[in-house]
Amino acid sequence: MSAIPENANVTVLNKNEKKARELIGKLGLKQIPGIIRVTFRKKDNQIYAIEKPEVFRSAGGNYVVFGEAKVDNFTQKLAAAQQQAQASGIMPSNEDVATKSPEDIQADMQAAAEGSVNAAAEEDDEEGEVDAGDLNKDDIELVVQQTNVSKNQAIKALKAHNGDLVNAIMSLSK
Amino acid sequence: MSTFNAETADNLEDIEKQFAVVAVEQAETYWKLLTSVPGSKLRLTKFDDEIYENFMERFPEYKDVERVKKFTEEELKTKEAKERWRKFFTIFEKKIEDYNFGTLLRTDASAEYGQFTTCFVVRLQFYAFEIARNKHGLNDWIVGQK
Repeated sequence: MSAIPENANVTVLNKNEKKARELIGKLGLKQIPGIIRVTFRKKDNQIYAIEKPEVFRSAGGNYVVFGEAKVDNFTQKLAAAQQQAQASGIMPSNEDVATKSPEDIQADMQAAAEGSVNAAAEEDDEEGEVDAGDLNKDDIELVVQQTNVSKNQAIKALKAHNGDLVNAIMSLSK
Repeated sequence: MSTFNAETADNLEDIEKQFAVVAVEQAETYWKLLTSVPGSKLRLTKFDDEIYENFMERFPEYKDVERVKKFTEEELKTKEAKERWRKFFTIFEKKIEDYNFGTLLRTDASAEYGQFTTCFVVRLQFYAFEIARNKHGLNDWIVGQK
């Protein structure tokens, strides 16, 4: 894999791929569905990307990836995207960024920090308000214990699922 | 007009797989619960007692604990059994969330979820069997298992 020109298609030889698949199939690997892209980054920031790969996982946590590897020049793409964004005015150009003084930035950060503190405080305020209703205390404890959420979240989840324990836990562990 | 075009729609396969994913998650979640709490102390829904009473009333053959503990997939899927279960579902269709969701059920309460000890049922059947098993303490051995 040393000299693959940019934008070139690297196609694994069919015969080899077939053989490899057969061999790997015997190892009892589990296919992981839903993966849309696998990328490898090399030291020099060159990126190999495989779109829509087939990914298999072994019990030991090793991965086998099948698919067509393409060289993906990320920095070039990023530069192009930035240029486009600047041209359309979505992103501030360098000059705009530069006009912000350190004091401004600090003020911004402080405002953001205060905002999050307020949000956290609000959440705390809610704490006492959620009424357990006719929910079983043990059920609430169980949900808390199984999912590490707050008591309030557990109560809300149980309510949303009409006291169904397994469904409530499932909704919280996603 | 809707922009959905059945001709070009993809992900269909994913949607189909989705319910299998949910079924496995449900099984894993339930198993994890059983490993930390004895089944006999567990309450799965607000209607556990009601489900149990109706189950025993409509399926008196399962008063036999051994048959609750271990059953065969075939006995649930005969034409007659299906009809009886359908009537059972109508009692709870308004009360039980996801009552008709595909769910994994162990055919043997003394075994883990495994390739040959699991069958695919409807959520309400899962509740009927598991609530009965829990009431008889048949799942208590699972506490502390990995």
